[in-house]
Amino acid sequence: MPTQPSTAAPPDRRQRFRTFMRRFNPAAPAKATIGEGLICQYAERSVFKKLAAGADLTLGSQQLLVGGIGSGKTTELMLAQQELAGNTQMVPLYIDVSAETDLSTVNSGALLASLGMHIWRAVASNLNPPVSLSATYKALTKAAYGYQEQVWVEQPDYDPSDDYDPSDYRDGPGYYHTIKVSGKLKPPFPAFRRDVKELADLVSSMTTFLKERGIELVAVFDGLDRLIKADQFWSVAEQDLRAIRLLEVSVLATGPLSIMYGQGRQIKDYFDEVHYLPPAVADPRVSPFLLEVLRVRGAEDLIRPEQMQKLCLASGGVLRDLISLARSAGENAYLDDADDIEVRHVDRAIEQLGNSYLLGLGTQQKLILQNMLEGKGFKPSDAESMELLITRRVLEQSESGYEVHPALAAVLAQVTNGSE
Amino acid sequence: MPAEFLDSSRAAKGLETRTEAYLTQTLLPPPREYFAKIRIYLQRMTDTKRTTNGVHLLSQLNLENGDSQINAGPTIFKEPCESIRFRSGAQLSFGITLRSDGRNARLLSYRFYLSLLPASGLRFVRIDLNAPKDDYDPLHVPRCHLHPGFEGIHIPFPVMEPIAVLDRIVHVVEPHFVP
Amino acid sequence: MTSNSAPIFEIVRLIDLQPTGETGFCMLVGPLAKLHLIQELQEELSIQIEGSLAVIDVKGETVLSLVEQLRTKSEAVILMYGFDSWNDGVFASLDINRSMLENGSFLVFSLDLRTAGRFLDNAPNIRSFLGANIFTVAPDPSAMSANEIADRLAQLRNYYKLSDAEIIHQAANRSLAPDPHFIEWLVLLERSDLAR
Repeated sequence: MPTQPSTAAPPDRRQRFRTFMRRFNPAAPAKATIGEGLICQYAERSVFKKLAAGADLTLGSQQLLVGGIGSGKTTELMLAQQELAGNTQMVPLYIDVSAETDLSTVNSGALLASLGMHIWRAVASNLNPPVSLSATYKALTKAAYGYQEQVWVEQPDYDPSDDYDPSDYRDGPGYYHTIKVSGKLKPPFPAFRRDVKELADLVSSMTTFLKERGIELVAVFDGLDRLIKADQFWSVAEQDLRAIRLLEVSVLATGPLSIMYGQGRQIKDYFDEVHYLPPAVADPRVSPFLLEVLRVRGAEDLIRPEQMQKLCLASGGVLRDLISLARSAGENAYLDDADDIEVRHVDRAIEQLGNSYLLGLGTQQKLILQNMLEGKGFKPSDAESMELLITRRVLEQSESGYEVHPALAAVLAQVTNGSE
Repeated sequence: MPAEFLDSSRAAKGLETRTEAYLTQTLLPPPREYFAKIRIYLQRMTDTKRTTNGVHLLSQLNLENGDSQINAGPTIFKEPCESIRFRSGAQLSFGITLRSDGRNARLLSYRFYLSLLPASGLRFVRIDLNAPKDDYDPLHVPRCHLHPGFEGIHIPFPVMEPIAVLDRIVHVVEPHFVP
Repeated sequence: MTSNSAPIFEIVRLIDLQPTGETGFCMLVGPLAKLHLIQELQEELSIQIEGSLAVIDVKGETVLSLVEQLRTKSEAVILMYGFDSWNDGVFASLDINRSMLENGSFLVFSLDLRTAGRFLDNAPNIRSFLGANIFTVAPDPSAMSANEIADRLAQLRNYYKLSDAEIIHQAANRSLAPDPHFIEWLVLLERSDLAR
């Protein structure tokens, strides 16, 4: 019998999965994720309160947060910054140095320059800076940027009485125009050798201005952990951090995992506290943390509990991998025209992550991993082994042991069985 | 012969003229692009639960002379078969023939077969665009027509591009037969 | 890497899921048939999300010059290729500076398998962001196979009790009925030239 069609809005799985993806984006900025309440604060694992307490109690202290890629360091730093911001006498400045300048080449004074820029922004927007401080900022900008971009603008119908200098090599009349390069992001300041002392003196004027008003600064430097090799980290950080210590500005900074295995320098000689963020406990039967990470983001909307547990185990405790796995499972379900994430979607996601870790593995590295899987142990004592650790194909376990990333272990087993 | 009957023939010829004009003037994107549009349309129908499947049934055959066939479901509907399924149990299969000059495409013919459940009162609804022919009876077999469950009855149907026909079937025709 | 294979149509469906304004990443691994890939990607983006595609050849670019290009591009998706010309140090530099890549677009790295290995090994942070979003581009599965063509022709012959030769003969004589089935029959036989 013919009926009138329903006028209610039809359900749209595309919107449902989009909402899911928004909550499971491994590349989402930590600030946005925190702002949307998607972070699970778990006392047994979080270090941000310790970071904040250290900066608060010991002014001018320098603390380092170390952990593998995807362990949640940026999130912890930002939470520490939020915690410190609750103190009206403190101004914590979050600075992603890697976003502000090129850290991959010689860039002395980068930390000081970016700190100075951020201090100025805080001062200019909240206080009435004196003219002398504005002059300091200008000098700082010049020291940071080193040059302005200038272009020649032709002006054919110029007035000869203007200040055109015919001795200029240009073909016709015109003038140099300093242009600001516009775009979505501000241009990075360039990498070159700066006079660290000069910069420190400029920044000192600003910190003194704030201290005279009872305001204590905390510099929260993120991005230094991208300098994967320990010597890269030291070449950027050492001089600047030493100079900042003299300014009595507290510092929280991230560092690469390799720094824990570095020969020579003792990081405790440079930092008052070193906090290590290990992979989380992956087994939900032992710790509910990873399950809670999924739940806080609304995983239960699409994933059944037993599949969530599978994702936790397959992540190896690497937080970003957990988010990635959930996302991939969601993508697989979406492409499959399924309404929910089912076991085959989860299994495929785990296999996909394992395959991505397999990409680029050399013969020697495969051998190291096979030996591990056969119970022959692992020592990060050579370049190949360190690379496995840095790239998270090998993960630190909680008690100075190591394991092959579970997702990679699964595909390696398939590869081995396939070749037998 | 009654005057109104002679007018019907004239009206039918007039309709055919308008049909031909539409087909002459209407340019569709190149077949591959039009196929992609149909594909995403079907995908959205599955996403909004109008249908339970569709995209994996789509196929295209592009000839070197520019002619193209876009199909979903069997050419001859005969159960059991794999066709686009609605939640009501109705099933849809279609075939579209395009002629392209390399840049744009024109419609040559199409068929949309909507198979209905027995309780619907009609066995099927079919919308056809016939290929051009010099000599035919536009009153009894207009070029673009609808079969309301009977092969022998050809009701004139306004010619429109295939995605628009799909849209009418999905949003207007099939919902009326939802039990 | 068969489990990470997907046709362009599906990859664009995944791009469509990305929250607007948030930078997304994926890697397309495989032999570089650039023009075909770019054209298909452009078409699907336009149809599915009404989005535009920017293409950047990174050969000869430094990380900073690439970042500069990204900074000024507003297209929904940006495909980058030419990474085979980069040495390992440039990949490492890209990784260190990956925050500068965040321009709100969906970034697609297109490269061959060997270069992908070098890229990921020297850019572990970007690898972490990519997660499992590393695909080989599969051919579009919608092309009608020989089996399907044969099956459809069999359906037509069985239903109308006519042979292919008879259909061709009728079409050549202009006596073929104009029904859509017969036009389809001619197309399947690759004799649509006989259809007016």
